[in-house]
Amino acid sequence: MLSEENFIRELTVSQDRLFAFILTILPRADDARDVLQETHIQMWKMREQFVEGTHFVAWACQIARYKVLEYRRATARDNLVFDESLVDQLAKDAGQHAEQCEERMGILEICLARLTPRQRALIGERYGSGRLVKQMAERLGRSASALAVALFRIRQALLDCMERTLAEGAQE
Amino acid sequence: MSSRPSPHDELGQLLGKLFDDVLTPDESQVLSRLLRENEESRRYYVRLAALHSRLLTRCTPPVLPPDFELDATISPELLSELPPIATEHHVQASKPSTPPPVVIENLHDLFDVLMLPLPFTFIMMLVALLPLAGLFLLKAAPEPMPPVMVAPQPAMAEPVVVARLTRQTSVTRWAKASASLRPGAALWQGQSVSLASGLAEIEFGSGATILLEGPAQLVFDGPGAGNLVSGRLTAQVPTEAHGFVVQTPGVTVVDLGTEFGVLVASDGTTEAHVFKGEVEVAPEAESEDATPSRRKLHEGEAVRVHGRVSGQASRIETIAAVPMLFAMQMPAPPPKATVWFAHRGDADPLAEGWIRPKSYQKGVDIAQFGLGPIDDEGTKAWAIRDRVPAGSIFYGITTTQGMTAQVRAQAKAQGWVLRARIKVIGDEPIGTGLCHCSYWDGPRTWRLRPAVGPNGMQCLVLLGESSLGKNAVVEIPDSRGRYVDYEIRYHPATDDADVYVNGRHVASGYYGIADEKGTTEEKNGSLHFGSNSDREFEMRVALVEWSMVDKK
Repeated sequence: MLSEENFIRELTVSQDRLFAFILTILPRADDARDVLQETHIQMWKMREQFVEGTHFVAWACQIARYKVLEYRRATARDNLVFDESLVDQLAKDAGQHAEQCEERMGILEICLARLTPRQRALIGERYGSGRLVKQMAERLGRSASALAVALFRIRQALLDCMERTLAEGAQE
Repeated sequence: MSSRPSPHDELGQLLGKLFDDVLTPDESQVLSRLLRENEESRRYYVRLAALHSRLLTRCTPPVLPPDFELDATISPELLSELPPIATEHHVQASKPSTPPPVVIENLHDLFDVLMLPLPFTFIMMLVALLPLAGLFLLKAAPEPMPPVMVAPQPAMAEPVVVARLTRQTSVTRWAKASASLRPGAALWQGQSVSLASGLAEIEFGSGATILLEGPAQLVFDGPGAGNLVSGRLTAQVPTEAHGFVVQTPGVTVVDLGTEFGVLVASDGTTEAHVFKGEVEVAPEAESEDATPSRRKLHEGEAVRVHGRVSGQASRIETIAAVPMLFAMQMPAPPPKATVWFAHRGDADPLAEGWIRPKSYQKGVDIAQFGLGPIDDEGTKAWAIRDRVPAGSIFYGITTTQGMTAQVRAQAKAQGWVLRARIKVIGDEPIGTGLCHCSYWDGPRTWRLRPAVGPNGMQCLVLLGESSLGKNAVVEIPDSRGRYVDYEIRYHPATDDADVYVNGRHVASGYYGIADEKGTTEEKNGSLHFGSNSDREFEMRVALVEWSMVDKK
């Protein structure tokens, strides 16, 4: 069992990875945030069951997955993006991805700096202002779908840049 | 990148809409189908979701009061107007009147009360420290502080523990999502576990015990029910747990007092084999109104149920029960032993102290063999690609490297263990086994010959006599493209060995073979692994380990 202090430390450092895991299987950000909170509460309640020396993030992901399923059962079907079998599959895929997550995310800032000013502004407005794409689309006079395509392209550019940077780093 | 969708193809458009919250329910269904059907698409989605998550968390702005000006200069005067910090010194000068109590209905309200976008972790720390803070405030404040009452939490469903992982073999590996599982771990209702390889013994709350054999995925439905999504298990059900249910895709197997095995093959068919007692097998009904056709199976009987395909009814085929397909018991724990010689991971065996005995190379150009390290989706191994029609290549530990007659005599008296983790890849069946991992001790040799059987499934040719007969072929279920753990445990008391594959006990009384002529020094005592194929194939060796059992 971890001391309370160490438990909170582990909880803090694993937070981003846990959020990424939840968001992967529950793609709406507000839902994912709710479940992240519920997961933290549950982890705190169950902290005595965590075996020191085992994989904290894996343990957290198990609890998160359970909380996602609980959340799904309490939510109207129309509001859910994926069905339960796909959630299971994605949970497995996301768990495998979680290990590389930190390194990947460490270079996000470098890649954001490599975007064009216009791309940076668009990403900044989407994620920094907390505005929904629909609101952004109204303001910019574009359709939400067109804006979603533009944002998707920027995310792809970011992902390409990050993976290229990672691969270059691995070759050095 | 082949898996990268265009923003304009169906997947790209749907993913764009998904992350920007403009996906309709119909589009959700299409996206789900695309992701379910294509592993590459799923992987791409997972990477994008991780990026999206990071962008969301790095850019979340703090929620500040509307009239708050970030660039206002905070003067010393302003600072003095800030409410005092509740220390013993300041508390007496605090608020003149007691404000009404703040009732916190739940932890979300605590956010609102604090009006700060604190990371939730910080809230957790506050919760943890609340008792201490309360003590401190009571001691420090002469006047009562506004009481903070935490109302009871709305009922949150607690995870229900329905089973427990009791034992696992030394070669058991859990998939990453289940990586924290250890013997003793509680397993909850609704929890899904993925076993990559090896055996795991799980005891359900009802008293039923199962042996899950990797690769397998199991979901815990309740204290007396499990859902086998893939892989195989055997169940031992005591009287008090009768009625234990194993659900598979399309089939329900209900125990009626028994020992049985269930497997879900990669093509979706389910097999149920009864070793003792009875079970009832019920394929999924053709429609919600239809009554499922149930069938009772007795000892020695088995069925294979082909799932419903394109509107056709499921088909039940009667077959004989085959205990060999299932792990019937947990193997005895390995003896305490000390490793003497080993090859591990992707290290070059030559750098680990192995040699390539010249007498076996027969003048073949080593460069023609593809030798080298490989990172095989996380498993590091040394690859031996055999492209030489009539050549062989071995790595060995001979007398010169330390496998002396004295060492072998000591091992024969105390016991020894040979372990290997090998994957064999070949395009066509190599039934006789064209690579090996062997321990030669004077006139006898214990020889594992991993091979590729029909359908790319690996098998083991156990050269020599054992409880399985002479030169037995052991089929290794679910082994296509996977590493297989082999183990030979020699027992001095009986002068023979037990053989384990993927943690499962497959043969006892393994006596090895009498060495052909045994005249060279290597043959008189050595450890070897390598290939002598006359066909193209590849072996990947992640581990070879020879240990001597510790003296009692």
